[in-house]
Amino acid sequence: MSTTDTIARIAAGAAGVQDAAAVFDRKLRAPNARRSAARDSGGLPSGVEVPADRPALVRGPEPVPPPDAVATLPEALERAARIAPGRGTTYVLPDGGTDRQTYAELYDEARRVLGGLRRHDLAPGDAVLLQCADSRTFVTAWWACVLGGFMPTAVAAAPEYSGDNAAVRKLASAWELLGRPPVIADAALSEGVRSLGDRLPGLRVLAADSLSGDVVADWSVPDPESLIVNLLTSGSTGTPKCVQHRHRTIVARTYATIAANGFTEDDVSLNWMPLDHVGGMIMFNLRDVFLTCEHVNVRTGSVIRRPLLWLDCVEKFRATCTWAPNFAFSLVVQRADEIAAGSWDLRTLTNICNAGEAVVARTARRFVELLAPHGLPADAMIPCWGMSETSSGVTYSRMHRDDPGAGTIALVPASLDGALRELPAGTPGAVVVTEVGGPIPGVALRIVDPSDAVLPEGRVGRLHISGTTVQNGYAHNERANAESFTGDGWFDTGDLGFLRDGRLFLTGRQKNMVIVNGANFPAHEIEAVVEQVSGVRPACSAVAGVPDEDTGTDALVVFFVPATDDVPAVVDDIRTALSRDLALRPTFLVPVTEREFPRQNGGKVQRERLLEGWREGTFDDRCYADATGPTAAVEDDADLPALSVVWESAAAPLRPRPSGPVAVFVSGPRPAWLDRVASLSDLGPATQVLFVATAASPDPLGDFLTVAAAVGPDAELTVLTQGAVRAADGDVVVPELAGLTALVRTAASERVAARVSLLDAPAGADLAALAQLRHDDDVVAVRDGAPLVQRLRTTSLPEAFDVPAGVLPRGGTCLVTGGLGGLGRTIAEHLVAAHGARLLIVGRTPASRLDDGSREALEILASVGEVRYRTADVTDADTLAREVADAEAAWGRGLDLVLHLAGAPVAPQWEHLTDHELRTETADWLAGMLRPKAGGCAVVDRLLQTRPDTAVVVFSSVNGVFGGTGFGAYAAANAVLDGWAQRWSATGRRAQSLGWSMWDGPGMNQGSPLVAAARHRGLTLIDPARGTLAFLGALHAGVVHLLIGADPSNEQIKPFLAADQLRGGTIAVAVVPGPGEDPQRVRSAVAARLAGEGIFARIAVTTRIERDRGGAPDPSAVLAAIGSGAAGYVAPEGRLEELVASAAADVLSVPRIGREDSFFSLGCDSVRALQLAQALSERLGAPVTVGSLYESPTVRALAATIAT
Amino acid sequence: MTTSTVSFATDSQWVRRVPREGARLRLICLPFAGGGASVYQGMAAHLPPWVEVIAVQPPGHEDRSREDLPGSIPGLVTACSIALRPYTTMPYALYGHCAGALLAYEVAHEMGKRFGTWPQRLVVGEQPAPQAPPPAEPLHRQPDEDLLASIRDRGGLPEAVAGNAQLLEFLLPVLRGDFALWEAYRHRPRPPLPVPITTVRGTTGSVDETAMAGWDRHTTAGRTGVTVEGGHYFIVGLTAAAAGQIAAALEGPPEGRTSP
Repeated sequence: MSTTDTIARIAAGAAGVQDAAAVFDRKLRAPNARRSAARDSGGLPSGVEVPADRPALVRGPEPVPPPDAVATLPEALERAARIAPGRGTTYVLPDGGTDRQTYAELYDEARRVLGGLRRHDLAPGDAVLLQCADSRTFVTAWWACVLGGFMPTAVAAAPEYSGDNAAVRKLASAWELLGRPPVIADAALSEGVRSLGDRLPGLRVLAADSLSGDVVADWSVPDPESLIVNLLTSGSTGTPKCVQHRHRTIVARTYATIAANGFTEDDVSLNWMPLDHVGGMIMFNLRDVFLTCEHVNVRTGSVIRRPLLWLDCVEKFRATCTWAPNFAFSLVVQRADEIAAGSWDLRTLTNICNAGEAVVARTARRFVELLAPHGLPADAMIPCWGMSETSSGVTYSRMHRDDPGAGTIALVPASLDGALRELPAGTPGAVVVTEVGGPIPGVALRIVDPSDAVLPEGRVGRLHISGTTVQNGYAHNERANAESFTGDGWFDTGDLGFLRDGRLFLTGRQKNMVIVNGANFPAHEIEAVVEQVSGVRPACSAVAGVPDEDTGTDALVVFFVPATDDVPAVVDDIRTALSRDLALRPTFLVPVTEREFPRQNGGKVQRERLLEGWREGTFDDRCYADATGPTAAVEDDADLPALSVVWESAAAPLRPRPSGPVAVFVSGPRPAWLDRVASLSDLGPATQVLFVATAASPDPLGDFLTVAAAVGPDAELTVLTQGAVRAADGDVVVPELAGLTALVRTAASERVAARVSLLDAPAGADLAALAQLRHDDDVVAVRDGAPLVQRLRTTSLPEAFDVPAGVLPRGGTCLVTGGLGGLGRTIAEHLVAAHGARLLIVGRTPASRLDDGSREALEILASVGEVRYRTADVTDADTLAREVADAEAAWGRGLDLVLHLAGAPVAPQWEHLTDHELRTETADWLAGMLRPKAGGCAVVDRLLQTRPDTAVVVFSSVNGVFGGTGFGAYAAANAVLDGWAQRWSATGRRAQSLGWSMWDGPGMNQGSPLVAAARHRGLTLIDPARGTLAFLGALHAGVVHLLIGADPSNEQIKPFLAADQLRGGTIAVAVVPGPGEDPQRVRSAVAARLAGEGIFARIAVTTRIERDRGGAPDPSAVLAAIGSGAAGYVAPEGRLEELVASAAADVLSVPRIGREDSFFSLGCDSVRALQLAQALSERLGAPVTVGSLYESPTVRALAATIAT
Repeated sequence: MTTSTVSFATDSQWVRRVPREGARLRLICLPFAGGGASVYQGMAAHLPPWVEVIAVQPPGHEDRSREDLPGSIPGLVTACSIALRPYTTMPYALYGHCAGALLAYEVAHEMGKRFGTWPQRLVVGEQPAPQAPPPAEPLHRQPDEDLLASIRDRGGLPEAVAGNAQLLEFLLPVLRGDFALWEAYRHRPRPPLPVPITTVRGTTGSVDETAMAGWDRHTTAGRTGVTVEGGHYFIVGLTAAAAGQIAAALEGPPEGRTSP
């Protein structure tokens, strides 16, 4: 009995419940997304070992400072003002205007501010906090501090200061940590900062505009060894970490990066990242003062609101270098349409530093590809690594648009634990890691094992760094300093990676740190916010970041122990709390029981163990995924979905078969390992029935029908086969047995028995051992003692309009079986007309008796190319052999390709589906279905024996994999076709089986009940143009067994998908209350009962549960009940609410938003909040602040706030 | 964008294409008598990125010169339509120049009638409507010199080509064959296309607006007329401005969208 059946039974046991059904609700992942790099990747090539021939230790070149180098920061500013007084910074203002500050002006203004600062009793070495919305004010104040020897300490401005949020907490904790320093605040923020005085007694706020006076202060050259810059790396809730740098380390990095990148005074650099980030101030602004080059500053919010402003500014200012973390490149590539339609001149931009979070090669490459038409140099993208502790970027690499392998390495995922194995670039399923380059002058890197011993290259370990740019240490944090620095002077970065040829590749992080959009969050800080939610048990939460290739940033997974039965409400509350307090958007929320929540003896939470369980799928029944995941439903004009059929390790193990009498029915002769076989009459009363079929079985499919009619409905029917599937290399399929897989799935859906499953051993292996085992899955291959299951994986078919020459060269020859049916006609026309193929078409009808449509098709074919039509039954081996030989003689060329399309018409049985259920299906009908497809393959096989280079493509159906209630015979015939393709492919032949949903043709139209029924099951109607294109794409993809036109987002197809194709998963329970019962009381009773069993399900009360003839609930209907019950959609009221709701729906890409819905439950994050505020401001013609969204997070509340 | 050289990818023997990711419309271009796919280089170079240009290479032309020239118009229409079918999975329009316009008109009917996928728009350049009477003095029956002179007079034969005897020897059978094919075109009346038509004339071209107006009866979705800089063969050496006018026509009101 499946998990969902068990849960439904528990729910049905609650007081007042009349009927209950439970189904999985899983979201489809975006294509190419992987759950985890370390996951098993069946079917990948083994790859080539990355050389481990030298220690993973690399030193950058000796630093060679320029002849006129300065040793301290104030000297650099003085020098810039002196030798390049006219150059400086252009600030792009929020209104689009610009404000210019030359280096001479900066030097002058900074000294005036210094004059003001000196009035406030500060000594060199004292910290000063900076809170500025205006960039010019910030930069001036920062340099004023530097000139005075005070340590500028930037803290991001808070969205608002009256409430409690991450930015305010960070400011408060930095203030405490650094000994309550004064805060310089600019005009926009000083009032807000002052309001914190109640919370921070004694807070000194220095208004920036009051500091600048007439006095131009003097300064003296400091000691290069004195501390000069503070950089806060975290600290929104707990003890902050404050990186401290000396002049020497900052100066060393600056000259080294200039040397490594070849920057000159003629560069024009553009920064739009926040100035409180090390990248904005140290990596860019300060470097440009050293370079004395032009600098452009754009507000972060301006670019987030309109990402292509970045490109506008590059063009306008002819910028040569810029930088951003990966998420920013994602923002740009999402706007492919706008980029294609617009026009920019980006030829000047030669250096785009990609730093601040993990570099995702796919995003970076897409960025340069999209911008290529606008003149972006092919090698502009520079992956980089650095951190505040290293005074920003210290390794640089380069990618190249025309060389997909450059700057990346494709690895076998499973090899990340040990000796790395490299795959050719572009191998599907590989983990792609971006190279971030070798160290700049003065810096050394090494990779070490847990005992700090240096590893060889090609092994993953912790990254250590030493050299001239490394920080002095964390301020007032001895513990962090002790943990981070080794005895021999290396700094432990907390990053994991490896070296190859002295170049650095990063694979993850050691520390409990989540990095989202370039910002670091220690896990415990996020947990503190989660635990503020009242429905979460105190001290019972754990969070972890997992790399998410789609977004290029970490996906946040939150585990928690709920304190109430209403888990979905707690999930919503956690989402809102994380958005409000940390501007974080969790990707997955996983409720666990107290027992499942792992702690060490000391009480420390073992996050890694939870994460392991999550990766293994332990929590797949209650993994609440982000509401705004990609919607993958098939639209009419989208590409046809394609799914490759693969075999993967099963999550559940094989178990011993329960003891008790077993009736064994053997198809064919009794094998030696069996003492006794059952007769048909034995089967009826038996509770356990084994059906054994091997290559020696003369009619396994017919025998199965007989058995299916004989077993009792409460029996467990297990099919044992030898060679029914190709689940591992070296397997040779017995095609007839492959048909049993489809019959087993059909039998299960028709509830022929209580449980129907199939266990397959390789051909020639021992079945005796298998007879003692069982498995939860329905079709299982046992290889080397381990269970493998058949799964589907979404595949994107390449867009191709030609036929690969390896399948059919231009002017090549092709046998088409199945005559001139709609499908064959379309494909044949295309091969002949577009590719000059020469065809031999065989059909059962003589040319003279063809119907009008077929005759017309033949005339058309003959008018566009060389086509022979011959009358031959595809099962008539001799005739077929003769016709092929004749054709080859006439062509003067052997046969290049066989397209096996023959099949018996299946449409007539739609009228009589019940008659065709397995219990009542006739042997004749089964034979009729098998004859053209299976029998045809056997004949084709004979043809192929003397033609080793001939390719073969069989046209099969998705039912070959899915089976189908009332379609067992048809499904089996297609599964046999699939088996033949696997058998041929195993011998090295180019063979493919394409399982189609259904092609549009006579009798097929969007309105027919047949098509509607198929659509409900996720089967798309394929029009011939799209089908032809999919056919060509499938030939290029070369996958042996492919399903085309089955929608993976359909609830009935999802169960067939590989686990990592789905994200999250919850169990949805629909219950029907008994007559007169109070729905709410019933709902609570069910929730309590399920919670008592440790089941975290979403529950909806409904009036009726849709079930199929087998009694299984219709998952779509159950989910629809949950959707309408839980969403509680209330329409917005009044024009203002409607306007707010529609703007929010647009920004959040959801179909609609109710008046009580929280933006943050619907996927709002800080970036979207900015965009929403912008959209509302535009639509209302009046400013709406981001802060108001956080304060009033629902449509109703926000509309009310706006109205006042 | 000032560059005017683009490279076509060979998708199949019939189709040359400049792939454009993110394009919203395919413009399928059919060459004039004597011409091949390469005459649409300028079109591909100058049209905006939302248009993907598909140029058809008929047998016997350019890199298909080893094959026979098309033997009949119906055969050419059928083969062409089948080869183009997979390109109709996204919205498309047809452009035909001179005799290519007649081919485009026939292909539009074939695609719509047989495959149910009508183009978004039919654009015809420098070609009177299909019902116009055939020429009184067919070019294909004239001696070599007269045939070449007529084409040269209309700007269809650059001096460099006209002066190269070897090249002419190669070109003449193609020209003569194409003219023979298309000068024998006889209009078969059919219901008008449910597709808007745009007619394009060169300022110094050889087809006047009256002749273009004959296209009116072939559409139930309206005709627009455009005049672009250039002569009868304006499509060779297409100016950016002319391409812009064609692009504007393609963007025109979407009445007569695709099939029901």
